[in-house]
Amino acid sequence: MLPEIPPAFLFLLGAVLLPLCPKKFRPTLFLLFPLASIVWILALGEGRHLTHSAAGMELILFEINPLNRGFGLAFSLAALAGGIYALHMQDLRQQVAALAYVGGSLGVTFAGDFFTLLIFWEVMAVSSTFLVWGGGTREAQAAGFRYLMVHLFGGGLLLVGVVLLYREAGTLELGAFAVGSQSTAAWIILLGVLVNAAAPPLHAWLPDSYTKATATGAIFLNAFTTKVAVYVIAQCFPGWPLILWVGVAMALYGVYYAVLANDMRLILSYHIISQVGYMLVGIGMGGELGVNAGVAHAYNNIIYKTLLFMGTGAVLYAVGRTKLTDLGGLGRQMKWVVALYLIGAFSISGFPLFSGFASKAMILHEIGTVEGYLLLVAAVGTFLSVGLKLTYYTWFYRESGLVVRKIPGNMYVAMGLLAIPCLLFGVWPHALFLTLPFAVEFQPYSVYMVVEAIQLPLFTFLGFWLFRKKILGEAKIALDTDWFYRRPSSWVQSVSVGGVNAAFAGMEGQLLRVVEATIALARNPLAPWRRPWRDYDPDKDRSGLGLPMTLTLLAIVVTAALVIF
Amino acid sequence: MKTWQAVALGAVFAGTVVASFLDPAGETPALFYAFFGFFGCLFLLFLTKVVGKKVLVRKENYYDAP
Repeated sequence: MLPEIPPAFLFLLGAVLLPLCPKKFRPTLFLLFPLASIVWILALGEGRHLTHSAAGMELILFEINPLNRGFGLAFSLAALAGGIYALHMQDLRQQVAALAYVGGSLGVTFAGDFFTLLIFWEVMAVSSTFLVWGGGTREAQAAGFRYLMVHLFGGGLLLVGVVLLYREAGTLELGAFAVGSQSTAAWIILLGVLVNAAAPPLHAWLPDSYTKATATGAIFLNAFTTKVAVYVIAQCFPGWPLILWVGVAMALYGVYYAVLANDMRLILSYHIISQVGYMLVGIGMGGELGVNAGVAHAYNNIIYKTLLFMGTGAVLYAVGRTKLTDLGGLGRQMKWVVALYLIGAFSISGFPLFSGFASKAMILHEIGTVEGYLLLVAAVGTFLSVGLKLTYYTWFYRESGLVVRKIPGNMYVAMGLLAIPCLLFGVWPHALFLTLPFAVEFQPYSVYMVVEAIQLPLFTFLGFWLFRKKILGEAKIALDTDWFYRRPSSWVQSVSVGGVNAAFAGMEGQLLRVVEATIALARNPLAPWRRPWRDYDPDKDRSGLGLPMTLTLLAIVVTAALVIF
Repeated sequence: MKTWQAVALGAVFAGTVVASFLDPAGETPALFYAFFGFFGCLFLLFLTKVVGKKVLVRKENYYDAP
């Protein structure tokens, strides 16, 4: 029997132990912690495993229930694959940050009360900021700072919500809030969680920061924060109609910007928002089928989105660029990367025999007509952006002439590891259903769903192919809601820093002039009337001798004349 | 795209149309999702390439050079 240690503690222990180990063992040792976490979650059954009484509160540090078990396993798998993907890296800061970040995520996932959840929530926010900063560039520094600001704001909302909840209900135990609850605490908690779920207009931190991290940093970032938020929403807000509509809006918003984006990692980042939208639609529908559908999509997404980020990370590693306008024609030298990426892309597009098919079918099966069609537009955009645009302009289209660096074997292993469930869950959806919180009686493979899932991408492809020469466009960016805190910052700076500086400088100048004038006046009362201002100059300011001599002479002559006559 | 690839995709499409008529439930539309995919794609391209370009797209140094 294993000791009942929360998986989060395993990872946090790893974050402490890793720096003490010899450098060359660190990447391998990293893998130990996700593996241990998987073993722990599988070996310990459902129930409360670790509780602690503090300050009159009963804290539930480690609780496994049907909902968080699957999330914990999916997160651990993503961490394992990420660790394998990073085996060639020697960057202690990122390794420790990644372990702490995964630890924080699993801490939230297995927390049984809001206080524990809040603590690990902040662990996630801080450690993931270090992953963004790991990018090492000036842009990464700035983006990391913006990222931290937004997440501290979200964490602050959560804290306020939790304090209010304790006052309202007298307990902090995690549980579902009643649909349409009037509790202020519930709404504030929801808002705080939606910041992490990247719901517009609170989403801009995501594309801003994930594109600035390193290839491996982005692997970790993409999998956790948003999906942890999805888990909390599934746990606390199932069946809320608002969540459903937020989800529909996110599905469309994310996909629109993904089609617009020029950077390959920006496409995937925006697309996370769209995918989280799908999950929220499922959870917002509520009921066993709805929550199952949203959660199934979350599990699938953690796997195939990480695979996709690994594909783009491989390109970044190989040629050092991520903008589609710089890339092209790399496919011949990166055949396996293309193949593995396409497995992810077909999965996310919901092709039959790939993993996204079953979870998308579950969501569409339950949904109302209008919402269903809106999600289908998002599905078209998904294949258009992630499946076609990114793939075509990166690996085909034209010869970019870039030198392709050889990719380390461990990257292929990590991608292969994640491609397995993508195919397995597609061919045999029952394997996916086994991980879900509720028992499933659902057959995704109907003629209707298969025909839909083939025709939709096929004709999206036709539309893309007809306009493929016009779609790439120029190297530009699209404005988003981060405009509201990035653009005015220079104005605020010019008023609050520049303006104040100018005012003080002006006053200082005036004061100096008064002082100078006083000094000059004291030296020579005539000085202030000298124009322009200058110091006393004997050559200029001493009167000539001619006039006094003439006057003296005149006075002598006059006096002499008076005496004589 | 090579000819055989286009033919293969056409065959897949023909297969879906045939399958829609063979559906025992009889609810599968034969061409609806084909139209939806095609016009959905054009619609999104219009919204991004035409509308988005005018409203949202800026130079890359937009935030660096106020």
